[in-house]
Amino acid sequence: MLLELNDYVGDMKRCARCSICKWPPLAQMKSWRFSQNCPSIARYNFHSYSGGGRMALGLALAEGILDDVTDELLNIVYRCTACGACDSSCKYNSELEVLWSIYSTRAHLVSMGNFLPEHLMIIESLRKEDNTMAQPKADRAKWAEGLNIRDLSQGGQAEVIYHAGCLYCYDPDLSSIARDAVTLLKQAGIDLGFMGSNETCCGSMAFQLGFQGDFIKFAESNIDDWNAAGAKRVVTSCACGFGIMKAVYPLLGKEMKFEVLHITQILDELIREGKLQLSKSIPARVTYHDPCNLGRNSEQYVPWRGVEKKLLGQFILREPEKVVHRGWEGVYEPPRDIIRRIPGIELVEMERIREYSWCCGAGSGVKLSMDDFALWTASERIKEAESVAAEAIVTACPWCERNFKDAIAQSGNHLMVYDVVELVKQAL
Amino acid sequence: MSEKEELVAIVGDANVTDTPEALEAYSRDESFVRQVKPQFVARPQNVDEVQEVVKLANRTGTPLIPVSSGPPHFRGDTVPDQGGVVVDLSRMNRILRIDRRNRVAMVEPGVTFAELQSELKNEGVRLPMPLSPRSSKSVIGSCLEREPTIIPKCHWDVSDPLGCIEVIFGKGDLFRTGAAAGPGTLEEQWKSGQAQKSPLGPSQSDLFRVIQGAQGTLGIVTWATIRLELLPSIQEPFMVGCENVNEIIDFAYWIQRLKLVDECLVLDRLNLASILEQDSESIEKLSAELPPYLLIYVVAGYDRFPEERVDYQLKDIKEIAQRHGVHPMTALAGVNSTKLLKALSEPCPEPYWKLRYRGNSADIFFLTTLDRSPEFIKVMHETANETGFPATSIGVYIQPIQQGRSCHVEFNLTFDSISKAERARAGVTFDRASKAMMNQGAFFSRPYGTWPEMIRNQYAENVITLRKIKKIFDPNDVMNPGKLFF
Amino acid sequence: MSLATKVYKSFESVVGPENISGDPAVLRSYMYQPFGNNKGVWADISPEAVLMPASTEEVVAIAKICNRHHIVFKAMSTGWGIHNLPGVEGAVLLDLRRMNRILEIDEKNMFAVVEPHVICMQLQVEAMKKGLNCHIIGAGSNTSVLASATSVVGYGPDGLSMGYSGRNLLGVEWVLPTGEVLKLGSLGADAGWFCGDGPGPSMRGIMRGWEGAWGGLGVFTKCAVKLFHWNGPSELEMKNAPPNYVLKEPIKFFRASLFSFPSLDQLAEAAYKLGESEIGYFICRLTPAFVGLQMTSGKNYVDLWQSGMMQQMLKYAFLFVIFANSEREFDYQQKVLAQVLEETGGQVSPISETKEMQEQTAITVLKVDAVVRSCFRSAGGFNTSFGAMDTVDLAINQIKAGAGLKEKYIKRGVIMDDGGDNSATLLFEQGHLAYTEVLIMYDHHDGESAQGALEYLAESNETCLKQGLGSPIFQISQVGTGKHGVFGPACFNYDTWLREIKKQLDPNNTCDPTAYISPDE
Repeated sequence: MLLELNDYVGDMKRCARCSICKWPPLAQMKSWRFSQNCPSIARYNFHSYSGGGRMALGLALAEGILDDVTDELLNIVYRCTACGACDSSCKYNSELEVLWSIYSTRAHLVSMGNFLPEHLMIIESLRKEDNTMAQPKADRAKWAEGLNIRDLSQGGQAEVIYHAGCLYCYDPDLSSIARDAVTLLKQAGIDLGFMGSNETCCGSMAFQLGFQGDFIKFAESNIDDWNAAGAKRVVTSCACGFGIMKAVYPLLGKEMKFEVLHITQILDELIREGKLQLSKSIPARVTYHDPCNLGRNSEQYVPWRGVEKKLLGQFILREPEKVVHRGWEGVYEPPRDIIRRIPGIELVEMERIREYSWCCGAGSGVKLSMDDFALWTASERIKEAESVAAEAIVTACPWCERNFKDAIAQSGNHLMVYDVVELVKQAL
Repeated sequence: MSEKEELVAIVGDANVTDTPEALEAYSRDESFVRQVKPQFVARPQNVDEVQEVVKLANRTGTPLIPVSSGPPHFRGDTVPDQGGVVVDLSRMNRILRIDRRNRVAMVEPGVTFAELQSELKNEGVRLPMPLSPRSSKSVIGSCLEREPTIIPKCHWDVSDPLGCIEVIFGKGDLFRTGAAAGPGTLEEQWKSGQAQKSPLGPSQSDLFRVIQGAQGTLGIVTWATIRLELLPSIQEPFMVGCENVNEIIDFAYWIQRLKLVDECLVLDRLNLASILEQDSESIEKLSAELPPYLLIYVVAGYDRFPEERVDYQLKDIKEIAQRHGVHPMTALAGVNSTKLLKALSEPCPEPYWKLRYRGNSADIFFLTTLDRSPEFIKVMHETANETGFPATSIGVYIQPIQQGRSCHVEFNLTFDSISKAERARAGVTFDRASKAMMNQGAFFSRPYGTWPEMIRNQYAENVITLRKIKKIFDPNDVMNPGKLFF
Repeated sequence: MSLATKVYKSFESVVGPENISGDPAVLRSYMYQPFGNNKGVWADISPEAVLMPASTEEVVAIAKICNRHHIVFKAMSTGWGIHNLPGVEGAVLLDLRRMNRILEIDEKNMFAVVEPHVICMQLQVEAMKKGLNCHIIGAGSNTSVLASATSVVGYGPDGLSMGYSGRNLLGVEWVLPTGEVLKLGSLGADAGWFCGDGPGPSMRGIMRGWEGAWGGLGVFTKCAVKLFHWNGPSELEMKNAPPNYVLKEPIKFFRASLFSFPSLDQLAEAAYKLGESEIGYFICRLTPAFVGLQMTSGKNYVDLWQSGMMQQMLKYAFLFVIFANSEREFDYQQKVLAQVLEETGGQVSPISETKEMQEQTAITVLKVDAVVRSCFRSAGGFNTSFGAMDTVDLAINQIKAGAGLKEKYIKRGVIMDDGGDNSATLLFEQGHLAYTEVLIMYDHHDGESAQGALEYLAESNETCLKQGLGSPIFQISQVGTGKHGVFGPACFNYDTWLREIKKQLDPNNTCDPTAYISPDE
């Protein structure tokens, strides 16, 4: 199994309780108003709701000193988008795996039969229909009708496989973005295929919720399918999918004969190569929201297996050294480069960006199971976009888009929401 | 044994007085406080004697009124409210230690500014002083009163320059505050490199702050350490004259904010003239020549590259002055900068400057922020108008403190106390103006005389807490009863 | 014992059901406290409930309920350290996270008014927009401004120019243990926040000493603190220089360097001279271990340490920063610095002079965001010792005593070998005050190491007592009991007076007796 709570005792027991997990990296804080980094503790306030607080609970569970799995414990563990902001902030001064401690705590609880009923609904949908949306599997490819993409589900090969992701497949509001993505790739002459209605979920939500068995099943199946299809590249429009494919898929021990790219990466490449030309002006002042799973959570995770030695008396040295990813190497520039190349556009940055971006609020099943929390988190981000006088918030993940749109509709705000793909299509 | 005999047994026969003249002298001061005679004046020489006197007072229920400065007194806090024994600390006048290395001096309560400054000069250090203190003023007395000093840059905390104290609480216990508390004797502390400089502690107490501002109602201080500064090797005073203090406020803020100046204060023409001249005729003459208000500041150089220090500070100040449209001058209307500097650096020669113009001064002072000082000037003039008090007899002193975080505003109502009419008018003006200031938002942080009564309701919760504190340190209410809120 | 339902409901009606919890999971997360724990991470005692008030009025209501029902209550801000938890059974913990506003920044008079959960970094970024800066304690800018100013020590290396938290305090709003609201100084009559002393005696003298009451004497709900001029840009832009964020552009008239000296005594002389020259923004005694851990970690650190290079180059060193308000002032300060160094044999250390180190040092000085690297990262456990404030000479003697004492424990292998002499901080208020802390790192999960650390701390306290090295900084878990019992009698029985104060202000004994003092001897 990938997630074993005991593997993280060494991290959980060394939290310094400094609360740095509750803030963006201190040097990057720009104002009081936008000084929080963790939507969970920002909303619920108890220390338990922070990265450090969850590590404490994980430790208590591992040590067997917290027997009672109360509703509140589940609330604490799951009212968290697993955005990784706590992890990234903590790692400025440490090598502690905060996010994976949270994942492992969830896996531990699930293994004991503790989870929220709403999550079970998601997992059952996955098991039954291969998607998280409780929609028929048979309808998965409907979004692509008329696009004439090679359907590899019946065999055949393609250099590049497009993976739309559950939300783009089933959300009629957002499907056009997947359609635009495919149109652009074809226009650029990419040898493109997709898995049709055999496309399945990437498994990220299952992983994040602690249902690692289900995750492994989906992940391995995807890898097999894409290998079999001879793909050299798998391109996805879904940041969550991208993140899990980059960070966790390689841990399964299966050879991935393909490179995983996000749509923004390949579009950036195509624009640089001149295969797509941005010539139409879009006069707008926009800001870019870094999806967590495209950014800080997309670095390949390297589980540590080794021994701890003591040197210099009590200095704890891990052998081998721990490889720690702090989120700095996520995909930040390609979407920005694309935007900057669009004539007429003015790109302004919010305060919390890149590896210390504020989460949209949708991740880790929160959008599907705790929409109130998701909308609250999104509304904070919208206020931040407004604070830089942006007319539109641009992002690169359907979950972010869905959540922002819903929050805007709820508040009656006028901020526009775009995907990078939409802007590229408009600017051609 | 009679009370007198018991006192004599403690301090010696020569140091207990109950002559009518002595008692008369202590029964009043220059303020409007009612006259009450003490029964005795005792003059202890050391902490043991002080402690015994306090213990005696507790046994007999005798009020004690500690006095460290010589006359004239102005605040009413040294006049008994209920008889008792004046504990005159003037015999305790040793300068115990001057530590140049750590810039701190340890003195007894009877040490005056005049005595200390001249000794300090020999060591190349100086004491931040209040504005031209009278020669009989006790250094400790001034510090315990939280009198503002004229170098706001050195005034980090409202309690500065007071460091540690040795005190006999009203209950009779000996205590030392700050680093002086220990562990270890003073000698042991000196051996480990300490200098009884840090005022904080011991541990979770900061009792020196409680004794400060207490007007002798909680204990008697038998020595204190005082933070010192280096003696400048170069000093250049400047003045900015103005019609209205509004004109210099921003400039004053900035030269303090950037720590460019040492002494920094605002005086009106009357107060400056009174400090520089000796008699009322000369004061009037000079006053007429001066602008209504003057910001006075001094730029200093010390041991290291003093000229260069002064040079950069002057140039930086010049830029600020230009930004704010002010014109600092080194000389103004016959004001000699040497004389000015001397007045700022030394205790006041006799007669005390506040008495020079009319013979007496009723001082209204409180804390506020510098930007609000013009409001209070307006209130003072309006009140004076109402009571017919001549504006030309009102001195104004504005002293930024705590490195510019707040400021002491003082109005000196000068009057001839021999004239009953003037005295009465001064009294009415004093009361009315004090109330008006309070209503305008003045903070009477040092409430003397009638002010505690005046502000009591506004500070109801503070008064309740203070009374609890009083119960701790002076449960038998022997220390200066009737003063403050007690 | 758990809270009676009636009492719980009373609390709930004050803060709302979302802001109170007695759930075991919530409580367990608060019980995680490695810093100051004798061993491991778990506190022995759990609060009965955690309450999160949003206003002074709610705090007052809570206090009154507690007085009525004889329940101990204790407040915390960010909660770093076991001293934040009540040390007795049956208590409730007030997590003041919801009281997190910066109420005012008065630019002209240079002070800010804050609620308890404003951290230093939040205040700094807002203050810088107005050309101001704030004192940040050595523990880091992730700590609470108010907690440091009202309740807990307050040292930080920028103290050279920006003072000490407890002395930077102006007006205070204080909910007394009985629930009354006491407003100190000018605030008492709502005349403003500019002064915390008076009328008459200053109650700042009761609310905290050098140490602070550690949450044991009521709750401070608002306070004003001094701010200081900031000559840098209103917003600092960063760039990535992995693993650090550093300034995109250097700040004008700012220069930070490590200076090393042939001996501790010469370092002390330099400190004295620099202090009284009135130059400098920041000074911090730093040691090979501390600096090394800032620079690197893991095997790289071990190799660096074992090479001996740091020990050779930084044996007696401090970091000194000049940050001037004009070019002229900058030039002057540098000239003075050069002269002092010449007089005392000080040399700029090449370690700080690489571009990378210059960048890293500048940001660490300004943001104080990386202290955890040098304290908690290596062994997990961290504590501090000595730490009384008075003079440079005292600080040097504390270092000598502490380093000597640590040798024994390092030889035993129970604390990390950091060279023994691992001390930090130095001057305050242009050198008028000085102190140092002697740091230790150990494995708090290793019984022998944790026990060794405890023994060291106890012996260091005894050393302070025997050698007259001032009252030690704290032994967090023993503030109310062990330490006062020993140091009280040695320091004019100050514990008696604390007890009297407690009796008067906390007659119903509703504040944590282990934090301030127990009412019983």
